[in-house]
Amino acid sequence: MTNVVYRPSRVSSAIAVLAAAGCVAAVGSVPEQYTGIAVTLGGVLVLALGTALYNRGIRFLGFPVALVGLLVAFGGFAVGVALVGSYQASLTLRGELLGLLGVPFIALGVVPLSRRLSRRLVSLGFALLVIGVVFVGAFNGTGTDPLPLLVGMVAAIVAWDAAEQAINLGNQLGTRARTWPSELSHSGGTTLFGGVGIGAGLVMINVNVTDLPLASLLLLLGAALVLMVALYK
Amino acid sequence: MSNATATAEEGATDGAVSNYGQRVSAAEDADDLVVEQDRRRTGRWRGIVAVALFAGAVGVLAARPFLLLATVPVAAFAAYPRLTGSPKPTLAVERTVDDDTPDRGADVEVTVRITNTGRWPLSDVRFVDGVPPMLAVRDGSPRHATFLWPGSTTEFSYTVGAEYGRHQFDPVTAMLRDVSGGTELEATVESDPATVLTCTDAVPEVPLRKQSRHSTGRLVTDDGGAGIEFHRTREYQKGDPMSRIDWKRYAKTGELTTVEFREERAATIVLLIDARQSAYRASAEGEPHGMAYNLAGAEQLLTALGETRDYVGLAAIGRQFCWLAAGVGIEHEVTARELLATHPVLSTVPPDEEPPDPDEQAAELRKRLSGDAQVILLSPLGDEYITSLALTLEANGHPVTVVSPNVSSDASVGARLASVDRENRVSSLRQAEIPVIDWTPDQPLGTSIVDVMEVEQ
Repeated sequence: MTNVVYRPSRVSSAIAVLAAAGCVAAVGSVPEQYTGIAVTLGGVLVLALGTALYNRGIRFLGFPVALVGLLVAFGGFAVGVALVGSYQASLTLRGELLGLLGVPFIALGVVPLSRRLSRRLVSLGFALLVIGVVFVGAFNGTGTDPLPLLVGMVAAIVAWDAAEQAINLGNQLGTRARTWPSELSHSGGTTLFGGVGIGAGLVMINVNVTDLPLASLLLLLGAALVLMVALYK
Repeated sequence: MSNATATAEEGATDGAVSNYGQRVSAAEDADDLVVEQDRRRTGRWRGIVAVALFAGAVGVLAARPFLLLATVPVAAFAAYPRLTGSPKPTLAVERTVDDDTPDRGADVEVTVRITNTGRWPLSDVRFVDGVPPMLAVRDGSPRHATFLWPGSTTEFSYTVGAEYGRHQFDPVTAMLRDVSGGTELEATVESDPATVLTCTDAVPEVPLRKQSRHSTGRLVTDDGGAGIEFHRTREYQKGDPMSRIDWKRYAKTGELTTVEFREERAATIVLLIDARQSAYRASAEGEPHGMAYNLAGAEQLLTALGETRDYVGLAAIGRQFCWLAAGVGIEHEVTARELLATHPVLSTVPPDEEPPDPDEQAAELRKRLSGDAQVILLSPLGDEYITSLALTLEANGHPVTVVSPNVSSDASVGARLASVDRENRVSSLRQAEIPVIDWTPDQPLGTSIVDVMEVEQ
């Protein structure tokens, strides 16, 4: 028997981080925000490099590099917030970056910081992404295009799904196994289904449900609730 | 070259019904080899409902229809695992090894080819090959995950280092998930015939105690009679064979004397394997556990004993009592080997719970041991019970020899304590004049036996 290293698989982890960044990018609206996202992604890359060094046994070098990467990844949010300060509706623009805080958490979950905590970290990151999207939806609801919200939501789900897949594949097979075909097919399926969901949302806009009064919307929510309860019965 | 092909068809079974450990066979394929172990819902999409409700509630409270709209794809994901169905696998496994009789330490490349023989694509199939527990994977990984179109084949290979003994590969474990990951099916796929690696072992001689029954064999006794080695001369008695009369002495003295030789007799040996939970301890995670060494040792002893005329039996205590009456001959040896490889008590997977009552099994063993049978006990000596069993057997007149693979380590305080406990057990057995072969697994069993026998002489 040989020791198997159980760590989240790489391809799905990369998909998760990229989708999370995509989620923030989808709801963003000004170029300065993209700078923040780029900084965060750069930080995550350095973090991944640092942990790779650490896992290869070069601990004295890997640890500081990973730490710097993590700080830069969180710093991306600060950079974004500072840069959008010159705009008028800076609060909304800052709120749009809320999801950016989730990206490093997802990265920490799949690096992973600790095997036991990895699922929690991913969930935390996912929650931050969702809060970011919901914040944008709640404050920026007067916009005319629903597509960013839909795409942001689906991207957050794809990110969470890929991270979870990375973790469960890593737990079952370890990192040395060749797993990328199943990772790509899984995330591909999720993305495709998300695309169908977005399509359904857009169709609903075209039939003008958005003009319905609040009472009808509440009714719709109630109906959705009943449907979901029925699904899990 | 060992080449094994297994075609498997999972028949018409109800989607959610789990056929635990049951062989699922289809009408058109008689020799089906996919055994479904477990089908379960992973529940990984469960939390998505909360997200949909949260976004929906904020959308309603803030009166933002677009946000409410954004919950549509989220709600769709809640239904996603229901839409994708559960996988119905039909798989064929072919395993080849580049050398099935390698030398010890040689690298053996194992190649596994798995074909999706069904009609549906399998979006997420994970395979773990059943590497024999004694063999260490040196290069590559026996684990593999892929996407399989109907009719397509995936191939993976890895290298194992050969160890002494006969190693049978376990079935491939397949974990199949549907594209959403909502349902997971665990199944084992056998290859038929099973792949076997045989590495000629080097037990030069099995250590036997001096006691035996009255049939000719190799155990040199202190009794005079027919044989090769000179024992003594004695006065002629009526009925002694003419060929044994010392004619030279008769010519010299005129007295009739008879030459006696040391009698060589066959022994009855029962290999008793300790398969209780404590035997499954390993020196470190990922190292072979004591049971794997027990089996490897039994295998080697069986081979060595097969070259003699000794009667060999097999017994094991563990999940249940396992018994093979002593016998001799090639056919008997094959039966014993098959039992070693396949009997559930001798599985390399540790039992989930402590076996019911080892005392009953020990009583059963004593009942079945013939009066003059010797016992070779294979046990890592993980607890006190096995020592007392050895002492009881010895007291009942069955000479016991203990072969004990040393799986203790000094990694932690607890491990050091266990190691000291084991030392104490070994010395208490030796005090009772039970020979103990302390087998350090990085050297061959043969060397350990020779060491112990040299000390005794």
